[in-house]
Amino acid sequence: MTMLLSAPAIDMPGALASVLGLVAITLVMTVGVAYATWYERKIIARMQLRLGPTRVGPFGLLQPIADMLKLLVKEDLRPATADPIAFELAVFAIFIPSFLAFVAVPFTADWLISPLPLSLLYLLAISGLSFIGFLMAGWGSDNKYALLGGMRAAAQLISYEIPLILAMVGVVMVTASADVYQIILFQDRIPLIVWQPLGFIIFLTASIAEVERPPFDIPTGESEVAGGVFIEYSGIRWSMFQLSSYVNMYVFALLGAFVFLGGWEWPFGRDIGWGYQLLLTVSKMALFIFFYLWIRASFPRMRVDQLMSYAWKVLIPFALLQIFLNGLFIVYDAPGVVLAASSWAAAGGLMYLAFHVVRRGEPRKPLQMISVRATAVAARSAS
Amino acid sequence: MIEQFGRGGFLLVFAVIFPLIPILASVALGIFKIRPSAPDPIKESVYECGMVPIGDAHVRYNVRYYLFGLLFVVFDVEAVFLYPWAVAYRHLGVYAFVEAMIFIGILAIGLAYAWRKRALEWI
Amino acid sequence: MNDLNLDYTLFIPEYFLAGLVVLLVVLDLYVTQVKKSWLSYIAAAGLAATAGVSLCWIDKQSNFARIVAIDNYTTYFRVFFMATGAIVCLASGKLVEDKLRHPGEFFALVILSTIGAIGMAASRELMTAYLSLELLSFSLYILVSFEKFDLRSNEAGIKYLLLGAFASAFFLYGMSLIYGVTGSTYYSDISANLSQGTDKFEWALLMGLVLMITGLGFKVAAVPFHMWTPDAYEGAPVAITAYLSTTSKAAGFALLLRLFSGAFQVVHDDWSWMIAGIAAATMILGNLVALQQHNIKRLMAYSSIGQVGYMLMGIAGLSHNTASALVLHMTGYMVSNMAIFIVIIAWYNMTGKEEIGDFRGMRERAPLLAGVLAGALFSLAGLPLFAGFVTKFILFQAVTDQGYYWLAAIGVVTSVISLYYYLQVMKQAFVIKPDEGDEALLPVPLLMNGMAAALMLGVFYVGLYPQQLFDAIDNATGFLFV
Repeated sequence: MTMLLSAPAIDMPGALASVLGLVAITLVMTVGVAYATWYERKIIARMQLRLGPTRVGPFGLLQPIADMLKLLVKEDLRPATADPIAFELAVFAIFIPSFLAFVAVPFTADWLISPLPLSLLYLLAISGLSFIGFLMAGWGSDNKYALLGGMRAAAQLISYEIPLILAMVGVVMVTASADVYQIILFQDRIPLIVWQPLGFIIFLTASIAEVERPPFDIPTGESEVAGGVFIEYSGIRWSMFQLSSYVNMYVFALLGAFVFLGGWEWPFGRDIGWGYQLLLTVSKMALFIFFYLWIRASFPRMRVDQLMSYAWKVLIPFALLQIFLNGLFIVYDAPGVVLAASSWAAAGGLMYLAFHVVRRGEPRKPLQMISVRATAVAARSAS
Repeated sequence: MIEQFGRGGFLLVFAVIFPLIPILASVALGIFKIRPSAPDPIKESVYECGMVPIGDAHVRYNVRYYLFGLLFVVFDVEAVFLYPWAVAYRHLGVYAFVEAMIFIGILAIGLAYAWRKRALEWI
Repeated sequence: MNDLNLDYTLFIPEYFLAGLVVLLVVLDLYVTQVKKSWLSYIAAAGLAATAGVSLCWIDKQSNFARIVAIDNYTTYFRVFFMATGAIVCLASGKLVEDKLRHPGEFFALVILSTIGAIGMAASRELMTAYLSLELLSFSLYILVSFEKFDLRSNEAGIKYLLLGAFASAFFLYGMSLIYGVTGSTYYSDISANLSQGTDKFEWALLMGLVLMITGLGFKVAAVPFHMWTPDAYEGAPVAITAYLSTTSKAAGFALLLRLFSGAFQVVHDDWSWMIAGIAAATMILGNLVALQQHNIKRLMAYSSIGQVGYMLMGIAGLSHNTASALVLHMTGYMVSNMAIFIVIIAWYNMTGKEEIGDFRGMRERAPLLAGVLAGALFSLAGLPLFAGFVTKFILFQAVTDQGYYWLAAIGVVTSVISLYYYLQVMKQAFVIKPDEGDEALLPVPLLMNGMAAALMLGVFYVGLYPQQLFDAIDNATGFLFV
């Protein structure tokens, strides 16, 4: 086991190595995404005191494969009035950008597809492209709910794109590089979450909105827009939408792990071998994904006006504040402690504001505990 | 540089093939009659809460989407301008700080303006 | 390129104006105690104060990185544009309050366009000139369509926007061709490059000149690029019509003078015939079509087109003398035109009408306004005693000195024609009696009366004692030809 984990980086002629790396990434992502559905269901079930899938295979482990087969042989429908080109191409328009993000993801110190000098910008840019696909799907389906969902998806994606990018500007100011690799190297002693907690909170919130996970899943909400853009898609195309949403989740989890938690660099340094590095990356990514699932299990869906005003009235001003604080303390060479402290204070302000807004309005009544047994007894005696 | 693009292009090919294979497989399954295919007018109509859909879905939608689109363009361009500044920030000094703050300040006034004019309300 | 002078203090007046813009918007948005009518006073006071500040640069010659020159020419136009802006802001206070709403944005846009106009006069580099031009134009596009629920205003805005965008594209394309020929966007480098050029005929240079003249011709509304003018003038809120007919045109000419004297004077023969032709067509068509107008704004539009023709003569025979005469004529035109528009605005505020026929009985109902209207119209027509006569006289003389006798002849004839339609307006104001029951004296606000009277004094000042002003202008335009 140690042998495997500390083996040197793939030592083959470059082209073959990169092709193999690509194939490996693709396979890993496929399996990972397929099993994302499995552990999402498992974790959510545990949080809701259920068991989740148990029937297909041990612990329900073969459930994703069964799902895939079922989706493959499901009847494929397309509304007669739909615009066939927009309808069919929307799948690709959503899927391709989310997949292409992996070009710039450094899984370990040596294993990345392509070293881009502006990889952070690339990642943000390419993950923001998918809203075109949502618009195409919404327009192409010729369904009012789909159109509504598509428009809402576009509005949400572009709105949360801005706090996301501005939070990253703060990070770039601290690290003086827009390359994810360099940003990871910067965090060899202290991860950036310590320096930029405000940026981290903004990133976390905006990334949930960007992948349209609950509580920000308004464009695909079942009760509001009957599933949004997915409404007319069935079978394999629908599963492609789900797949790309999971891939997006992976991308943002990886981005968060690299940029704020130190990726494979922190806390052991880069000399520990690629196996441990991969393990670190994956475990940090898993933290993020677990957090996303937890959020889904805990929070009700937001309202669309709350969603938009939260982006524009809270997150963007705070992101600008973060840039201002960074600029002020870096230009006057203040010690790092001051920088971190200012960001922590601002993050506290953001938290307080969020709390204050949530708590505003009527004072809450304390929850009334209803004894099930007493109710049942009362019902029996009444009858 | 070419190699970087080549690798990216390779992944692009993968990204195209990846959804294509299952979709083609689904089509093939349809040809071999493994997958059911029994279209009828009700199935092929769009879903509208189980009622017969009224009219076309290609309707005029609310103007506020455009408002947010415009705001997005403004702030996105701002962010793109800020990236080179942020990367080189440690070498630039107080002057660059002041200049960028004027730039951000103008846009912040724009945001405050939009806020006050209720362009950010989703009514 | 190490010797670039990056002296940011040169732009202090522009900083003031930008700060004023922000102040007005923020006051309008957040300080509810401020009465909206005060905003016009604040804007006008700020503009006047900034004009005073810009007087500090008199007789100082400097430049910013060679792209913007600060000399007496710039200072003259700074004062000119800020004065125009201040007059428009003061005059439009009540109009904005009653009819337009959004006063903060209105005055902010007026001031922003003033900054653009100043930039056009000051820039010595094509890109800077273009950016200033766009700043002016973009503000004006919004201002023209400011009357949001008025169909004509919307129509005017869209026409102005589309044609203005075309004109900008023409100008930009011409710029790129000039850059291709000379390899520089600096006026001085263009001039140096052209003067050492061969005798070979350059199609690209000619095309570049044609396109630039087309683009600027749109902006100053010269025939045959004047189609947008009547519609835009008619649809725009009347204060903006006044602003369009002065600042927008004056800025166009300030740019034309700076550009053609600084960059293209060495190839004078290549373009003077074009400008001369355009000037002749503009004078004739503007003054002839004006004869048939019923709406006062359309009439003023065609009258301003005619005036553009006179001013273009000065560009055609470009020299130090004609440049001075042109700027003097422009100043006289500005004062007279503003006086007329003050009367129109006051009349429109009180009666809500803007047809020429609706001016009937002005002599009985608002005697002072009627007097100012008559004087200013006489000035535009070029009668002695008023500003128009002196400025036209000097202009025609300067043009004939350059050998353009035929242009001057057309100018004189069309001036006589223009007297006819100006007199039409005066006939309504003075001869026709007001309607029954409408004879009462109108309560003209003191501000309007005062401004009209002050501008009338200005008309007489230019008309009777032009020497001082002419010397100042002559000094200013001298910097174009060094």
